Parts: sequence; C-alpha cells; structure tokens
Amino acid sequence: MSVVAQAVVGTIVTGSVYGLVGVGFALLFRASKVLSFAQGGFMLLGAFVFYSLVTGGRPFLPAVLVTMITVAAFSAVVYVLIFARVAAREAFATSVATIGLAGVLQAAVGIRYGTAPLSLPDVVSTRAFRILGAVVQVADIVAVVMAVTVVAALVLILRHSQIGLRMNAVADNATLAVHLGISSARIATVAWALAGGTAALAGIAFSLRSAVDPVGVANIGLLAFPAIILGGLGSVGGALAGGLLLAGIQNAVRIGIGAGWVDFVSFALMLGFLFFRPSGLFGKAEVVRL
Amino acid sequence: MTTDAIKDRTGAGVLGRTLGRMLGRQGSGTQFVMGAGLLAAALWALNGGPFLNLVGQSCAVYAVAAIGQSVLIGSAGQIALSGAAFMAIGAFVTGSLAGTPLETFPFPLLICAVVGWLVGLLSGLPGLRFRGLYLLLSSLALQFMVTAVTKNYQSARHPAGLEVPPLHIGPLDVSTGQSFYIVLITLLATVYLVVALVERTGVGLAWRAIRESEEAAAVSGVDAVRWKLYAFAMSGAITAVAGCLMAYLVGRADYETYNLNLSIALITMIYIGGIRSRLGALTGAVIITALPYILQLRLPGWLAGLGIDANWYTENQSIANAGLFNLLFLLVVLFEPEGVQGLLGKAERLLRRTLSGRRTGRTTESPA
Repeated sequence: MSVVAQAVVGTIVTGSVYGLVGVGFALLFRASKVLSFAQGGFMLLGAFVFYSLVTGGRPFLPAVLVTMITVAAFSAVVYVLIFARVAAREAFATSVATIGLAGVLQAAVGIRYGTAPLSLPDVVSTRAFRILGAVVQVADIVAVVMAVTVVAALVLILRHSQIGLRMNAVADNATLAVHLGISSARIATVAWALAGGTAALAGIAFSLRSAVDPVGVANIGLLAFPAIILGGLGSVGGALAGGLLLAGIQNAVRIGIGAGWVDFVSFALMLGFLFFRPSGLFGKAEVVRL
Repeated sequence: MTTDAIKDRTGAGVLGRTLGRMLGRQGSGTQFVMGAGLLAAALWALNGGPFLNLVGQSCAVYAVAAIGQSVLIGSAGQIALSGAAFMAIGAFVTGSLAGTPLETFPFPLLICAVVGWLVGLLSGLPGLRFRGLYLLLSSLALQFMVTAVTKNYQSARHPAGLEVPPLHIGPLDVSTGQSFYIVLITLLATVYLVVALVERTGVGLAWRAIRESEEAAAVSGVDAVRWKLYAFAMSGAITAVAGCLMAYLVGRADYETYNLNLSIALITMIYIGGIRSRLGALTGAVIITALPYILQLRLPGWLAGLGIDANWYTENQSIANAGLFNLLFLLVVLFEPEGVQGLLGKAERLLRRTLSGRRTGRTTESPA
C-alpha cells in the first residue's frame, strides 16, 4: 500500500515538473508554431541560476523571482536577437535550430558548473508529512503548488487579459490576427519570455527534490515531449494533464516492468499518439497536419 | 551559354578553354574546390602515419553516416533525428554476429544494410502520415526507443558492451592502420557512387520533387508515398552500414555511443557542409570529425598567444566542443542553410561577377 501511495506522490511531483516545462512548449507553439527543443536548456539555466543565488545566501522567494525574471528576460533576448527574423518566415527551421540552442545552453552550464550532480542546500523546510502511508516533503508540496499556480495563472491570462486574447488570436489564425493590427513579433517575444520563465520554475521545482546535473535536467526537457503530445500540442492545461498522466504511466512501468523500460514506453506511447491521435487528449484537431 | 563560350575563346590557350568549359557553370567551381580538398585530405591522411590514419578512419565512418542522413534529409527533405539509432542498429547487429558463422567480413555489412533497410522502411511509416515537426518528433521517439532497447540488451547480456572481432578480409588482417583506412575509404567511395547513381535516375528526381513540394510532386504523377519510403529505407541501410563500420573501428558496440547527441552531430555535419549535396555531407563529416582533434592540439596554444587562459577549455574539452558545434549548427540552420557549400558558392559568384565585369570592361574599352 505504501509503495503505491509513494508512487502516487512521486507521480504528482514529477508530473508537475513535466507540466511546468510543457506549458512553455504549448505557449511557444501557439504563438509562433515553433516547437522549442530548448525548453530543457532554459530549465537547466533556471536550476543553476537558482543554485547560485541560494548558495550565495539569498532566501527562497526572492531567489525564485530573480531566477524566473532573469531566465525569462534571457529567453526573450535570445528570441529577439537570434530567432526573430527567421522565425517569422520559417517556423520549422527555427524549431530545428532550437536543438542547437539547447546544446549551447547545456555546454555553457556544463563548463561553468561542471557535469557532476550538485544538490541544493535545504532551502525550504525539511519537514515531511505522512499521508496514507506515503512520505510527503514540503519541497514536494512547493513543486506542485508552483505548477498548479502557473498553469492556473496562464489559463486565466489567456482567457481574460488583453495580451492573452491576442495570443489566442495569433494561435487561431496568425495571418488574420496580423491584419487586425496585432504585432505577431511582440506576441512571440512575450511567449518566449513566458516559456523561459516557466521552464526556469520547472528547473527550480526539480532541483528542490533531486541533485541537478546538465545531462539529467536536459533529459527531463526531452521527456516533456511525450507529455505534451499526450496532453495535446498547444493546450496549456493539457500540458499539465499530460505531464501527470505520463508520470503516472512511467511509475507504473517502473514498478511493473522495470526502470529500464520507462523511456521506451514513454516514447512508444508518444509514437502511438502521433499515429492515431496527433491532437492529443486536449488539443484542437486543426493544428495537426503540418 | 554563348557568351561563356566567347569568353572561353578569349581565355589563354587550350588548358584555359577546357578548364573554362568544365568550370563554366556557377557552382561547379565550388564543387571542384570541395572535391579536390577532400581528395587531398584523404591522400594526406593515408600517408600521414598512425595518428592521421586514425583520424581519417573516423572521418570515413562518419562520412558514410552523413551520406546516409543526407539521402533522407538533403535529397528527400525529410528531417529526422534518428541517425544515431540506425548506427546503433548496425553496431549491435555486428556485435551480435560475432562468434557466429556469419561473422566473416562481408556478411555483417550486408546484414546491417538489410536490417537498416527494413527498420528504415518502418521508420518511414510515420512520415507518410505527417511531415515537419511531427516527423521530427516521431524520429526522436525512435531514437529513444532504440537507445532503450540496446541499453537493456547490453546490460542483460554484455555489461561492458558487445565485442566486435578485428576486421579480416579472407586471411588478411585489415583491422588497423593504413589497411583499415583503405578498406573504409573504398567502402565510402562505393556508397558515394551508388548514391550518386541512384540519384541520377528518376528516383533522385522524385526525391527532389518531394522535397520541394509534396503536393506538386503528387499532382505531377510522382508516387510520393513509395519514393518517400525508399528514401527512408536507403538512408536507414547506409546509416546502419556506418554503424557496422563504427563497431569495427572501436572494437565494440556500446549503446552510450549512439545517443541523441550523435544524431544531432550527424545533422550538424550535413547542414554545415551543405544540405543540398553529398559533397557537402562529406565536407561536413570531415570538418566535424577532424575539428576536435585540431582544436585539442592547437587551441590552447592560440588562446595562450592571445593572452587568454585556456584552462576552461582543456578541462571541459568535450563539452566545449559540443557547445561550439551546437552554436555552429544554430547559426548555419538560421542564417546559411547551405553551409560551407553555400558560402563557397557565394564567393564563387562574387569572383565570377568581378571577372566578367573586368572582361566586359575590357571589351567596351577595346573598340574605343
């Protein structure tokens, strides 16, 4: 019983991290039809900026805010300086190029901090609770709260704010939106900033629980792909749902078959969804064929 | 064309005329420079002693893999991130054949080609349903699935990797040094010629048509489904052969070699060299394979000469190289998708313009 309960807790925490990375994919895809492979890189950047701030003695909340703003600003600047001119013309080439960006970020972090796993000092309370036989740490709760808050905030922004409505308009029909006076370049810049910021949060949430190393964190960014395909490319809420679902399946595989088959099943599932339901569980069908 | 001919006649002598005819077309000069450079490099590596032989061997193996990828990505225009997966298949097939009666030389190579062809065909099925991003994602899935399978197989059977016996052709030991290099170069040349011949036929034309526009190709009567699958299969076969050669080069097959980073490196090769041609794929493979050796030998010295501390580089060599290649890839994809070949082509165009400008200048002067 306690194994299952612990697996459920692990699922919720891991799923939250996938969800946090995934919302960034969804935002970028909606805004510019770009599928960013660099989300793992930004997550990595977030984790290590946060690590520097915290080991430098900054308290938790300011460190989170500073990390988020720094990475968001960096992401937006990278977009404006490097991608903006090409992205408007060729979304696909931009997507391919983000593979390179991910590698550059990974190498930069690797040179600066080394490749050995680093663990954070305890930044949040080390207290743990026992719920239905499972041990729940405060860090777990923080990670889940972060994910739920971010997704709820983004959904509200997209539904009700001016910028959110503009983003929806661009996602719906970019050409028409531009004709109605929406600057698609500005929308894309905002989307890159938001994606960077949420990826940084994902990095923080991940580093609260596990030691961080460049390769491991970047892999989380790649494992978010099955999650977003499950949830539906371009659906913000679906990214979180897909993340939770994927984490649940992964834990089931780990317990049932063996840890060696987790990646295989995750990506086989993604392939299956690509084949039979490319819009995912929550996506809209028309964004499918490219 | 006729003006070119006239210009050639004004050129100096027979040599100038034949060269002029050969190099008359824009782009041919670039091809000539690249081909000659590669040939010179290959000969230099042949007689350059054991170290250069070794570098040449890896260049040749990666060049085969790059040709395999360029068939799919360059010729047929289907971008996939699964090159390393096919190399892994080749390497593991070779490793599994060790100790069986089929380990005699040409058999592993042929079996790798057949297996690669079949898996390539399978991997092309998603490409029939969608292209672009979704194909990229499905190839990513394939890459991870192959890594997982090879990893599980390896840790269950051969924790230290599958051993591959030294390469023998008949009674001859050709597993190291110059002889191995010659074998690899011969195979590379064979693959190059086969692909060149295939692409000269209607198949190559069909691939190009699909690359430019699948709808237009289908409307013009090209069986897009069929030729697309052939591109996947042929690319898979060639890349698996490269994996087989890689296994012979390293002496074992280990799943860790064939990760996503290798797939990205293969794509980087063909983009940096020039996505549109096999010559570009070869050039890119040589650049990306040889550059780390050159940097390792020379860069600390250069940096020291500039007064920059080189410790960060020497301590993180592989990461720094990976970062550099990724940066190159990023810039090439965004700003110079034709890679080195594109840059040389631009230089050639500039050269031609200045040359013909000078000539027309002379002709306008002479009547006066």
